[in-house]
Parts: sequence; C-alpha cells; structure tokens
Amino acid sequence: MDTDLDTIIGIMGKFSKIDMSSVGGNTTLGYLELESLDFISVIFDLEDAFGISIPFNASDSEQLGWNNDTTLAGLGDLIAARRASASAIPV
Amino acid sequence: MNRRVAITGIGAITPIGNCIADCVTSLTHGRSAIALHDMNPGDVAPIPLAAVTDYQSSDRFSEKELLLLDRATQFALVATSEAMASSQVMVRHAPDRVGAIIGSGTGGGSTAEENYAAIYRDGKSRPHPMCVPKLMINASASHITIRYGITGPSFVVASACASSAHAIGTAFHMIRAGIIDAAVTGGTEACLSRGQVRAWEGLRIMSTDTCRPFSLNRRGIVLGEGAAILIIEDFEAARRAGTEIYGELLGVGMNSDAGHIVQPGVAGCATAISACLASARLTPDCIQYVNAHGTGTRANDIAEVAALQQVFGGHLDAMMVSSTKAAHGHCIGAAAAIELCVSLASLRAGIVPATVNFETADPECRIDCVANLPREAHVTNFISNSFAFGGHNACLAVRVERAGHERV
Repeated sequence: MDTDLDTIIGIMGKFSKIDMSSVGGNTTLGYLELESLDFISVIFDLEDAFGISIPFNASDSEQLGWNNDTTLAGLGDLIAARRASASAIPV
Repeated sequence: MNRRVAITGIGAITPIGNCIADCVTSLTHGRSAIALHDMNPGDVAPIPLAAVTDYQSSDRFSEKELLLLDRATQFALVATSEAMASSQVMVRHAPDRVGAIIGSGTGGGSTAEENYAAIYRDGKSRPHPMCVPKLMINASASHITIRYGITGPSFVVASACASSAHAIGTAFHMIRAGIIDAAVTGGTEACLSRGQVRAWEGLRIMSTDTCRPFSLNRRGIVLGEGAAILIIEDFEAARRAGTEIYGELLGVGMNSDAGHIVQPGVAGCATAISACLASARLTPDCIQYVNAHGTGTRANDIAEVAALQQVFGGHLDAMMVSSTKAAHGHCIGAAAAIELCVSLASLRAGIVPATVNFETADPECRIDCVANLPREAHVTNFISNSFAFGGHNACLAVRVERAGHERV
C-alpha cells in the first residue's frame, strides 16, 4: 500500500467536490476540479504532511512543476524527489 | 441636500515619503520604496516590502502617549497633523459638525501580535493593561477626535483593501447630505509585523522580487504601510473662508461582487466605476487619469483592465492608467487614501505618477500604464479604484485644483 499516495488522496479529498471513491494514482489533478483557494490549502497541507517547502506563486503557476495533467502518482513522485533533496525545510 | 465637497487638506506618511511633498518628490523621480527585509534573519529568505523609513515614534509622541498608540494609530495622527495644518478646518466648523471616519484593514494588528506572543511564547499571565485600547481597530479615529476636539460622528471602516475608499466615500456622503459639514477621513495601516507578513505569504500572492503592475512578468503584491488623511468639507464654506482648495471630491461608487472571497469580478468592478461616474455626474470621456488598484497580481490587473474597457470603451486609449503601488507597496486599508492623496498632490503639480518597475507589456492589459517615467500632463478629473478581498469595490472621483505655486 502506497501510504504517500493515500495521504495525497486524503488531502485532495478534503477539498475536491468529486466522488473520491474512484480516485487513484492515475487520476489527474484537473479531474479533481480544485478551486483556486482550495489549491492553496492543498499546497499548505502537502507541505505540512510531507515536511517540504513547495514554492508556489499564484501569478506564476508554471514554477510548480505540475499542472492539471499531472497524475496523483506523478505528484507523489515529485514530492518524494523534493523530500530527497535539500528542500525539506519547514516554511 | 446635495452639497459639493472640497478637499482642503491632505497629509501622508508612506514608504515614499513622510509628508505629501516628499511623496510627490519620490513620484516625480520615479522612485520605488520596495526593498528586501529580513523578517526573521537566518530562517527564511528576505521578503520585498515597502516600509516607512526615517521615522522614530519617540520624535513624535511621548513615552506615555505611546503606551496607547499602535503604529497604525501613530501614522494616522502624523498624517492628520499635516492635513490639519493646511486646512485649519476646526476654525471654520463647530466640533459637533465635524466627523472622523477612517479606514483600516487590521488596525492594531501589530499590538495584538506582540501581546499574544507575550502570553503564548513568553508565558506571561496577561498582556499589557493598555493592550485592548491600543489594538482596537477604532483607535485611530478615536485618537483623532481626542486630539482635535471633534465631537461629530467617528468610526473606522474595515473592508480590506477598500477600507479607506469606503471611509472617504462615507464621509463624502455625510457632508453631501448635511449630516456633518466637514470630516477628517482617510486610512491607516501598519501590517508589516512578522506574523501578518507570514500570513500574507501563505496566500501565495506576494511577489518575491518587486511589484510590477500590468507587466507580463508580474509576480504579485508587495505589502506596504502608512497613512493618508484628507480634510473634506462643504465646498461653499471653504470657498467663503478663502481656504486653499486642493480638489473637489465629486463622487463615489461602492458595490459588492457577491462572488469569490478573494478573486475580483470584472462585472462588479465595472459597476463600481460606473456608479462612481454617475455619482459624480461625469461621462466616461471626462476622466483623463485612473489611479488603478493595480496590485501586480495576474488576477487583479487583468480583471481591472477588463472592467476599465467595459466602462470607458474606446476612450480608454486616450487615458492614462497607472498604479502607484509599484512605488509605495500595497498599503491595504490605507491604500485608497494614500493613492488618492499622492495622485492629487502630483496632479496638482502637473505630474501623472508612473507605474514603476514595468518591464514587458501584457497583451491582456492593453492600457497606457505610464511605464516607469512620470509624465507631465494637465488632468482635470481622475478616479481611484479599490477592489478588495471579499468582493468589496469602491471608486472615487476627484476634480483637481491646480497648484498656484511651483512644482515640487
């Protein structure tokens, strides 16, 4: 069982209005239809849950490294890479 | 009753100057006060902010006075002192016919933060006994009435970034309707405390370099602080007294988006501007300059230009639209007052303030933003926009009285 993916799905489930029972690693971020403010809350919760810093500016979303086509499994890989790097500094 | 309203005094303390003349000098030279600040040295990266400098509270207030004066209240009193010095409004009007209506987003937020730290971090059993009267958001209006003996209506208006626009608009309507004859109005904000700045960072709309309104590579807001105060009064009373009139407050438009808690709505913004023009009995072609809300976020700047296009149509091509937030930062509750005062003072001197830090044109913001260099121009009427979190919109229209003396 991929606990990191479960954590990610759990966080998304707090904010997404869709039925999460069918959501898995192949689900894209776009499918979750996160509203802009909820997206900021998701980032906050991801930082908290994984002990990482996610630089994100609402006026420059490209710096994130993920977009609406990114899958939740892909997001998990990005987070894992971030944890492995020196960026694991609490905000 | 539908009286005209004159502006007979203006005062300010801002990151670009601790008085109106210094603010105009900064704008005339296209200066920005935005600089990197260490909010917590050694912990996180420095943050671009626009802070009031060369200001020592002990130069202006006694130790005892400072027990009751949060930085925001200090700013309000400093700005009021300057405005009152030129207006002398209390000589012309009975104290109960003068009001004090001030805008502020967070009031004594810094005092709250310091005192909560004393309890939660330092383990003290209680904060300073003067904590409550010092941090209460109405403190600035109260201290103005106490200092100047004003016994008319007084209160603080809080509507985030539109606070001082709403305050000025409310005072305007009260004079127009004959409820009062004069008012001390404007706004104050001192929100550059560590906790408040970190809270704003959490929203992910703060720029990491500088504020570039309308520029394609803009990356968000830069917080500022300060205060600006206008003395407004019955136009005929001011004219009869031979008082210098800086300008005429012509109208105000106020409405609510009733939409998103932070995203601006184009329709709501456009309606506020249109309502302002109607209140001022002006047609769109009467406006030469817009002091934009222009925060430097992608969302606001695009929405604001779209709203301006809806209202002004083809005339927008002939208008100048600049954001002075690139110079003095986003002063939240004081923003509208600061922007109106510095715009009025600059325009009286024949100078249209620039949008500094501008680099690349954004195809979604097709306006003449007076990029980087101020411009000599004669402006008769201008408007000042404020589109706040919570969907609170306000727009003020002002007629400029040209200064009879040399440009600063």
